Amino acid sequence: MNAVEPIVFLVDDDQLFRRSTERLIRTAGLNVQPFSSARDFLKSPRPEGPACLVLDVRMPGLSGMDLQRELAQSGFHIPIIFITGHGDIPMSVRAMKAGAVEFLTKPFRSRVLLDAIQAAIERDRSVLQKESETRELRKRYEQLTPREREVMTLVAKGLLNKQVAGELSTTEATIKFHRAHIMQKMQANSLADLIRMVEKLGSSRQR
Amino acid sequence: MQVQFEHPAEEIKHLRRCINDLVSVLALPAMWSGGEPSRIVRTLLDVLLEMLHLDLVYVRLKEPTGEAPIEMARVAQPQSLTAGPQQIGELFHRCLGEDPQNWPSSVRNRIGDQDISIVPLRLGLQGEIGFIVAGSQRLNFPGQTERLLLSVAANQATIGLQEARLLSEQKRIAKELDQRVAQRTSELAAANEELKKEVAERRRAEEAVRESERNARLILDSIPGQVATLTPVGEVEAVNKQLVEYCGRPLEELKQWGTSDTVHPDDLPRVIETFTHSITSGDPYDFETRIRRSDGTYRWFQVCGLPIRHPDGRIARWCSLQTDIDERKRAEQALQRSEAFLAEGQHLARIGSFSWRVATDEIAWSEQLYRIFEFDQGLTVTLELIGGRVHPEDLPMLNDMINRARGGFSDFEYEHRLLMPNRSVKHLHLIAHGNRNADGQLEFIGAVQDVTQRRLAEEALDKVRSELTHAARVTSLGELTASIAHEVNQPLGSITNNANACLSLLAHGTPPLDEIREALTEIIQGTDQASAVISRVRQLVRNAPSERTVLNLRDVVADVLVLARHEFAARQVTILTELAEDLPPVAGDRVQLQQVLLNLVVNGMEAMNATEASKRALVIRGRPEIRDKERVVLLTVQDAGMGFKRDEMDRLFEAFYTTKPQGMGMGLAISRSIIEAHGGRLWAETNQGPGATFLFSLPDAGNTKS
Repeated sequence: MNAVEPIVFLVDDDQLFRRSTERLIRTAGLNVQPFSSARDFLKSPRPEGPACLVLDVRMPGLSGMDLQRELAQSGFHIPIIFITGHGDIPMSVRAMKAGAVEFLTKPFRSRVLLDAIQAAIERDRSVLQKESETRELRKRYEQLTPREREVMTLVAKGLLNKQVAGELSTTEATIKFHRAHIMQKMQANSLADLIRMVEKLGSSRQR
Repeated sequence: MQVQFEHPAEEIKHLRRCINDLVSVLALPAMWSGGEPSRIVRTLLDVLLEMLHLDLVYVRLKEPTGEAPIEMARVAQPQSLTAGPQQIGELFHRCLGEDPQNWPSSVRNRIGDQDISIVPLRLGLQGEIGFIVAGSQRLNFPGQTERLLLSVAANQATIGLQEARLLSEQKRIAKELDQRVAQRTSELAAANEELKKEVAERRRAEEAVRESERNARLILDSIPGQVATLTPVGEVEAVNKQLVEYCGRPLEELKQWGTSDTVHPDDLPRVIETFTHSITSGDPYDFETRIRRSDGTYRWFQVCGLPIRHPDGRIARWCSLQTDIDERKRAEQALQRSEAFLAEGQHLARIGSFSWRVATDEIAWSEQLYRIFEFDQGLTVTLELIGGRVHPEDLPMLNDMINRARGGFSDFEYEHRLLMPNRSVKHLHLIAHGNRNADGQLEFIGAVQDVTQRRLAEEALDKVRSELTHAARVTSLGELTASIAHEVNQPLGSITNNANACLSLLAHGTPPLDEIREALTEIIQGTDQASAVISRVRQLVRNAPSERTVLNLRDVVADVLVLARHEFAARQVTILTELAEDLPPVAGDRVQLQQVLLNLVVNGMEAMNATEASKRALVIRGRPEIRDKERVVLLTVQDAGMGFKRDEMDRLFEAFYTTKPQGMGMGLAISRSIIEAHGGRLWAETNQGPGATFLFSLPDAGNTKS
């Protein structure tokens, strides 16, 4: 997975601007894939590695904001850098609320765009990282028996074995037994480690 | 010499003979009576030759008329003397000498071969009639009795000749008298004839005079005037029929005009004064006064009087003519009033009038024109004087007008300026029309109006209108700010990207030159794109004076769509254009037409705010058309928005009417005024489906194809 090169998607209807942006990003040593419309981009396959989307706000047909909405609905959480010829505050607020990482007004300094792209890719990379860790934890979590999942939740809350036993109406020894299995199945080195894992699982479940 | 008689009987015999001879001689005049001088002379010579036994006798008569003298000679024995009378005369003259006064009483001389005693006798006391010479061979010649006889005969001859002469003179005179009588008689006859003619002539003349008098009376009674004669002291003597009929008063009453109401009471003192002055001085009079008509109304008359004088200069009578000038007087008063009105009107309207005779350059000005030009009233106006006031920039126009006027051009209307001495400028509007006057001369009559105030007001209004138009344009542009910014920022962003890309590429060990070249080319493209947009915006924002060019509405549509393109995108409005291939050109101000279309397009977009996004479409159509027989270019902007109600239609184009919260309500009003200033129309129609269509037409500026 780490071998996959990051990729920058670029969607802008203005040919001249698209070509220049493409050149800029490419010159910075990044893979770039340009599209002249949002529809074309939606038809393209999703990336495996870290990626980001440089998106023009105003376009005929499907606009940048429309595309952002569609991507969110389809669960494609790619970081988006909006660019616009003329940005207004309500528009940028709307975009940022919807999860945009950056909102740039043309003409912007090239460095700003490249930095934004870099940051977006790093962010995506870390998101991907977290997602793969979460996927691993969930795999381990799914190996736990329902009783073990209950015990782990209470342990992660900081309850002592005796308290947990009282809570579940069982013996302290039984809890110790479960705990050992849990630590083994979850591949946790310490109680602190396990608590962090439970937090991660909990947050991912919330998303 | 004394004859001696020896015997008394002899002597008696001799005496008797002598007495007989004397009686014969004395009887001669009786014989001669009525005879010619030549006959008298001939008988005298015959008598003397025979009576005195002469050998020769000669007579020479002087002609009183200076003709050649008559000479005659008798010889007793013609064979002994062959000489002619003239030779004999010359011979005697030699013997006797030239002067008859100094002649000897007798002389003996040789004539021919004989000695002869010669006795000369003068005829008349001084020999003025002539003379007789008697000659005889006898030695005792002449004897006493012979001398007596000779002298008596000479006297008798003188008497006879004188009588003959007298007679001939009498005859001549009588003849002459006869001739004169005859001549005079014929003259008298001719004169008589002449006289007869003259008499006939005079009779005719008298007849003519009578006729003429009748005519004169007739004329006097039928001329359109009233005539009166007055005595030298001014008393009315006679009047014609008209005067009596007009006044409705008999002569007797008319004589009392000085105290009656015949003359208008207001005029009477003046009339009496004038009249009295003329009567006492003998000067003719001429005045105007009102005279009472029979119906009691007073009419204006001109009264002229002339004195008629005797040969010695005394005034015989006055002749007075009264002419009805009431109409003229009223016309004069009306004219005066009308002139006063005109002068007031000209003053109020700042209109002056003038006339100009082209041939003589005589120029007449009204008072107001003097005021407009600020010249002293009455100053003699010349073209030079006018030229001095005309604004130097307009002087060529004035000169051109003058030349065209001289060339026969007859109608003018133009505006020019005056530059006054205080450097202020006046605007004048001049209209002139040329006519041939009664003398056949070209004369221009014209009016000049001082339109300075109006011109200044128009200029101020133009300025305000232009500022308002500009303001509206800037407002329209403001609504497109986002679109325009996008349109400019797009190429600017591209330029920045490309420039940075180039910098990165140059940092390589081996810079990819093709890539760099490509990037630089795109930079230039971006620059061009941005400056094109900026120049369009600048055109719209700049408050430049209106400028008409021939242009195609396609270009105007393109200009507007470039600026509004991103606004369409942002508002998700689909824009469609259907412009005819053969769209004819129009004449107009590109910026103003852009403004109109921009306004219609923005209105159309805004009207569709509430429309479902998929149905937001704006259609711009352009095509040539014939409207009211005129070739026009029609441009329509159709939206699918909320449209408008029928009763709103008229108010749409009113100023300050708006349906938009932020709208000024000036857009359509200004758009309409722009289109109308271009000679076109702007109006709105509701669509069959949703929305409205705004349309404007402009005159086709292309070559008219039928």
